Amino acid sequence: MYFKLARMILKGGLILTALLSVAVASAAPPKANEPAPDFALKTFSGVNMRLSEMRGDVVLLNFWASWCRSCRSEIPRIAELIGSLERDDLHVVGVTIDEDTAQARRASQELGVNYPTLMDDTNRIAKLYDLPTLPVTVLIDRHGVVRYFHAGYENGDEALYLQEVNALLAE
Amino acid sequence: MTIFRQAIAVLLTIMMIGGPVYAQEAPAAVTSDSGALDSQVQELKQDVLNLNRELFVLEEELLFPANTQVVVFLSMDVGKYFELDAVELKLDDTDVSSYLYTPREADALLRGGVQRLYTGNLKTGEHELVAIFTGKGPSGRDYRTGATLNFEKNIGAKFIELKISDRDSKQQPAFVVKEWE
Repeated sequence: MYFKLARMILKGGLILTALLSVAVASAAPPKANEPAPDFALKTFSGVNMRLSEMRGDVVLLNFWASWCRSCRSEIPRIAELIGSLERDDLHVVGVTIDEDTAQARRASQELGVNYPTLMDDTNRIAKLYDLPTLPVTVLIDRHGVVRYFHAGYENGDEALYLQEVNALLAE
Repeated sequence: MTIFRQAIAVLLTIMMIGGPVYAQEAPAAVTSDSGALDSQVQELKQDVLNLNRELFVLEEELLFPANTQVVVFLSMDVGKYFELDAVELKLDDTDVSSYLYTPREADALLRGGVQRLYTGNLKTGEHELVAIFTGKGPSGRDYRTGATLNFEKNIGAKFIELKISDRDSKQQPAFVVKEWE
């Protein structure tokens, strides 16, 4: 009898929660320990890439633009970081928010980008991630959860990225 | 639905903690035998799983009631004439869905997968669905085409299928939008 009562209370509580949650649900930007919003974009090479297909591996997502000075400082450091790690279970993905994709492509070549770059020319994903500034580097764990969210770049930040990536790879 | 799922987790945790308390208060069920308590906890866990399933159904019914629900599916039966890149959907001139297909997703469709592309709500009456398909056509050239369906939404869920197939007679892909009866 008491189990039935407990079940009724649980059911009622869950239904009430469902009703309330529908009312208050909103698309908040991701912060640490929240699931990374999924998306798909086209790469420079014309292939579509979806974030959730990298689940199971660690992902470093780097938002940048060709007109962003700090981005241009950071990108070569990220390229070096990949070179030093050589891990199959690490995906480094750039997301350019340039409206002029040809300009972004040229900048990418100049900076020596050696990883896939996705084109967010309508800034749809930039809004989804609620970028406060540029560049933004997001580290996502194997379960698709945002673990680190770095807004801006200063010389030496790449050492912290390396430390965090190694920690996530070790999990 | 993140808040929703967090709330579920909290309530389930409270239930898992509270369940044995209720068990202890039930005079018929109280027993010092740990085996009996285990079976009660297992029963409670099964109840929670069943409730979780009911909750998913309830969530769907709350957001998309059967009377107004419209669901659009996509299927492919194509090998030679079309390589799917993206699909955009408009309902009554309003953009409702825009989906990019990765190679893995396109392969899944080719292997017989059916994608639930869009779920929404519509009032009863006449409506227009426009589907725009983008990809690579014959000879690897860029291909962009559309298909339109005018349909009547009655009481009850409406299911619509977008089907991409080969038309060997014209050596072109065929794009069909049809209602499920």
